[in-house]
Amino acid sequence: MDRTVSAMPLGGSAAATDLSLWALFLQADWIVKAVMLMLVLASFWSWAIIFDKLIKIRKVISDTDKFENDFWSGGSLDALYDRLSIAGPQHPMAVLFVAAMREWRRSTERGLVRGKHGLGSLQVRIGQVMRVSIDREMERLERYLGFLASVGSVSPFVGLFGTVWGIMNSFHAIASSKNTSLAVVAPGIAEALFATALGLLAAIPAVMAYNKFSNDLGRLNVRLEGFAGEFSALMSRQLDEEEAA
Amino acid sequence: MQRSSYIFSASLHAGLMAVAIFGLPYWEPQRELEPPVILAEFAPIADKTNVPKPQPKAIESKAEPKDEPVPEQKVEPKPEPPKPQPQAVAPPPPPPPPTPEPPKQAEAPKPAPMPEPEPSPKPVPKPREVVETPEPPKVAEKPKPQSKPAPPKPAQRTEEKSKAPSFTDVAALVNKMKAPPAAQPQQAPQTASRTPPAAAPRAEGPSNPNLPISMSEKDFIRKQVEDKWQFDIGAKDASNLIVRVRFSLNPDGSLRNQPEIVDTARMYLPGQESYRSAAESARRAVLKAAPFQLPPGDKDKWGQEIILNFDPRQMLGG
Repeated sequence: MDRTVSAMPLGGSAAATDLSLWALFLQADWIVKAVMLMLVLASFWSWAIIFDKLIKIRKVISDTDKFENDFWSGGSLDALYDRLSIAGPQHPMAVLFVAAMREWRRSTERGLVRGKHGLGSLQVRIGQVMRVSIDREMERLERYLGFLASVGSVSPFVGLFGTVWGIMNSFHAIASSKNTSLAVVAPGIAEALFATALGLLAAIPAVMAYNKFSNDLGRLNVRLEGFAGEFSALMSRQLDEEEAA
Repeated sequence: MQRSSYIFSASLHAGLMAVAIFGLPYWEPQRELEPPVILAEFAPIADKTNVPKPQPKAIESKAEPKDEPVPEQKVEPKPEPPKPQPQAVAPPPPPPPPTPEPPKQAEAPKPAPMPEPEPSPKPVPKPREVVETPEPPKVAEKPKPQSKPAPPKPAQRTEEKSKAPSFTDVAALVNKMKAPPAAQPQQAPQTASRTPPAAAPRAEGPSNPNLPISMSEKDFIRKQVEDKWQFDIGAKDASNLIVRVRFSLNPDGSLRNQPEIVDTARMYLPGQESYRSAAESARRAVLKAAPFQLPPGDKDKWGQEIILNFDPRQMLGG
């Protein structure tokens, strides 16, 4: 008799609810399911971007370091240009340098560098070319970062939407079963909260990665502009020396 | 975008999902809780409690020699007529001993053998008898008179020993009887008598307050409650409204605590309003029957929790 008495509350409380994550997903409402799928896809896509950017930016920075070493090592700029233009510029600073050198060479080859006016317009053209190539390179590097930003800011809300919807459903369940026991509500709430968990899971790495990448790219941008300024100063000095000579 | 980053991301997510689905340690302990769903135990209890195992046989066996004398015994005028009964009954015990029960107990107290051998064969017939509610209570009352012959026996036993050679060892066995408590609870109600001689049977063990309350004693109480139970026969789903009430008694038969419905949760489930009213009426019945008339024997054990099943089907005679 004791056994059955104690078995009764046990049997009542242990309703057959499976709380594994997969079961939580399967028993969810279809809207919650859609939200979860969306969040998983967003997470997948943002992680792909994160890995891509991580590798690319690290490579760009190390290449840039190497290039600056080469550039300031005192070797011939023409030789450096030839080497880079044959292989094709691999990173933004090289692209910048190649663009400026190409403009310089073309102008000098065609004899446009004559007189004060010609020198001035050459400098303007080189500055323009360098600015354009900086913008283009930065744009290339920053592509997809916007997605990380929006995943970081929006996916918690999307997850929250799923949660609110799921909790609405579980309250409907209370109303329809007229039973307020926690066992009726708990699975619905667990599945609903699962959506928020997914949203945060997608958002947190996206936000962190976005902050890191935009910092890195901002620093790279500063370096590129610094390089462009130094390079144009170098060129204008060279031009002035040639003119004086 | 490089392909490797897609692959990397995909494998990361796949790994995460695999961990979440198969290996997250947090979910493990909850799964272990599920097995102990044992709800099927109700029926056997209902059967047991309703079964007045020992008495029916006692009645039958006695009924054969004398159909009517049974009521006469209640009057308890003659200590002598009972004597033949135990002897008449005594022959049956020898066959039962082969049953699992130790032969000592079967022989020792002559009144006892009647109930003891019966339990083993009777479990089978019980279910049928369960259906007839009115009978068990009567039976529960009848055994007392029959048992009364027992108390005076200390003297009789010696006489019987001379009469029946098979009981020569009884004296020694009686001493051993004190040891096995398991079989005694059933004997308790029957051997114990209201009369002072009860001291003798008590010495044999029934006074142990830790012993469980036997089925027949429960039936004795149940009968009193069922008399007061006004059950709505027309209630919806009446056949499923088995109410279990838990209470305990003081030695004087009054309620020690408020009777409780065991399955309280069901009372408040939607769609179980009829169960709720049945449960409430069962509780009221217990309260109404409150100063219970206790069966003879040790009264202290009624402090234990008693759980009675009230089955409307039995109330309505099947």
